[in-house]
Amino acid sequence: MPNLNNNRLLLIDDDTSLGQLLQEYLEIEGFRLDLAPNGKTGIAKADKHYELILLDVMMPDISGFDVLKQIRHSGNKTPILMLTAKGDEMDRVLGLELGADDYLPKPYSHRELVARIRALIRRSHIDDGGAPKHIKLAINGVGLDTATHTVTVNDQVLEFTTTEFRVLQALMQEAGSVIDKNALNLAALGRPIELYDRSIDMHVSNLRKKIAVAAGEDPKIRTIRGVGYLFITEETPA
Amino acid sequence: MKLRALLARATPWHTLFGKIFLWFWLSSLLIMAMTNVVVKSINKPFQLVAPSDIQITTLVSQGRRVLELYTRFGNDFFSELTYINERERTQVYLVDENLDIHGTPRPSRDVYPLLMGLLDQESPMIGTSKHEIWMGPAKLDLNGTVFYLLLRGIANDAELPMVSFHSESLIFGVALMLSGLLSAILAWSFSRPLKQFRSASQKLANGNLATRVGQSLTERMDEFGILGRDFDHMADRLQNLVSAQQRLLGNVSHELRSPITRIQVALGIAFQKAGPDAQNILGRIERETVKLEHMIAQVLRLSRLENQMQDLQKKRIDLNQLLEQLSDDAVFEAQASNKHVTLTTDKHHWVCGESTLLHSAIENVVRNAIRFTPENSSVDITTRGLTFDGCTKVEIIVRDHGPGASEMALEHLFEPFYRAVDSASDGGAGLGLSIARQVVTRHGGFISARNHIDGGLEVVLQLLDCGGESGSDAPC
Repeated sequence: MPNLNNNRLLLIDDDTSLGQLLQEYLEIEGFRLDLAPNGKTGIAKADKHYELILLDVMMPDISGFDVLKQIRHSGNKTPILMLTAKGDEMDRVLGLELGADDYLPKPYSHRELVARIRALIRRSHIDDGGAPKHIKLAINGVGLDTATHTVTVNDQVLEFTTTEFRVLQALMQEAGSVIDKNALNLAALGRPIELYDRSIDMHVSNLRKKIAVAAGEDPKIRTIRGVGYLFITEETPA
Repeated sequence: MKLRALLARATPWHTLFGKIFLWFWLSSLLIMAMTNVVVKSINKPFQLVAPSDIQITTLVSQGRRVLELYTRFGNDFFSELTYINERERTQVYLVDENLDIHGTPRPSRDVYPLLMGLLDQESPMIGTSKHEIWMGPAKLDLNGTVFYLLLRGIANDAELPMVSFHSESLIFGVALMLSGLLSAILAWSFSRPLKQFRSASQKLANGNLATRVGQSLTERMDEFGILGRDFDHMADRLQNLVSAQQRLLGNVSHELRSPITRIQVALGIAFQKAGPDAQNILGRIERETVKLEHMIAQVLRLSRLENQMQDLQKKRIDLNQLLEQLSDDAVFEAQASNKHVTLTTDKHHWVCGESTLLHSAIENVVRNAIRFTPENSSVDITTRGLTFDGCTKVEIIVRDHGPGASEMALEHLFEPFYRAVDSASDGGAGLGLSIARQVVTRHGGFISARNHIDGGLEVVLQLLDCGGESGSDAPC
């Protein structure tokens, strides 16, 4: 698909006056923001080509999680940034588990918001653009194909979100050696790790859970405490 | 239902009062009846039973012997009888028509009623009195004079016909069992519903607000039923109130945060549109907004914690791992202001609790320490295992190298909005340590602060160490 780079974003949030403010602000920053004041309209509009979807968790008609589920269920892989209530760790975990790419606790600072949006878009463009992008890997019973965007574990095809796929790709490309969390964060989310930021740990934890369904008790990813993660090859000592 | 209710009012059985009254009445009636039976059986001087064939044979052979003796000795017969009675285990007595008793030793007066009773019988019977066993009468005709033969034996336990003893102990035993059974039923009928109430109220106290006492209680017609319905009503109200409060907290948090988010975005626009002169003051507005949001978050967290109804989702936590993550973050934050954070753990500790809460509690203490430790100094986090009274505990000690606190300040350090140093501008809401205390207390732990001998404040968080080797995340 050609890189449209249209800088069009969709905000699904019931707070319309915030939406209007964001429209104005993001326009200054060079984005065009479409508004969906409720979950239903959001799901309908999400079909169109957007670079990124901003999704609020707390909405009166359909919760952000259900919107997220439906968007992902329809095969739409547009990056999604969840806007969660601050201090609600459960929301964060659930959002990332359901296929959101990143989250931002509310209330967010305007700078943080733009930084996150830019990072996610940059990241997804790295995937789209560039010439020889076709990577096929098969290590320790796990197969990964960037052309078809599929992962197989013991010949079983698994469903991964874009971010999970990127995390796994980064880990497998460096299989057998440790990747520190910051590098992994950059590779997967397009931004360096922040203070108290646990989203990469959550993506890895989701990955593990999904792989465990097919691989059983045989772990593929090891945590190196205080450093990062390691994809285990056949040669990796126990 | 109406009929049942009507019936319930009519029958005293359906009230606790009626129940107690009837049970006691019944059991005292029973006791009276029993006592009557026992007293009668005690007052009856003797009991007579029919002798066995062997005993009859003995009686007959003794009778023959007496006849023989009489024919042999004639008038010396009675002295011969005395002689026999002295030598043999069974004594022979002859009673004449005038009820004079011939034979030695003279029977004690106590057995006279028994002897009279025996003499009234048509056929021989056996009667016991104390340790004497009497059998008779057998009618003897000694040369025209009628005598009644009675035999006396000293009964050993095996020979005693036991009947009287049996019947008495039987009655007593039945009475014992029956009254015991009735009392047990009565006691059980009270203790069972009370136990149900107890388990329900314990569950409720532990934060399970959906607890109800159950139909078996609420459908009862007595006072327990009334109490059960009241209890459930109370639990309903409690659950509604708490969920309403939690909804309110959620709404407040949402409603307060929405305008702050809008202010933040509006600030973004203002930063872009305003001239360079305004940048400073806009920055100030932004900082204050962040602080406001921070305070709202902390107030909400504290009020959630203080709401004891909220149940903790306790799991096994690898404390060392939690502290490592926490100190990694703290090192990062401290670097910005040229400070250090060190972590020294003595061994592997496991604690039981809600990970996010404990994390934020320790984090608050550490951040506080970072704020007060001077540049180029460090905040030292250490752990220490303790055992007393067979209880394993772990102390997390957070020490800074700052000015410490006055004795007065130490007492109030953990109170909401208390500030040891008047420094409103440094970003703290004054709630961090209160939250830490709430969290630690909710986890059955203890938090305290003291000045280190070599200067600086030392905050000690004491938690229960749940030990063991197994992995984290298991519920506990």
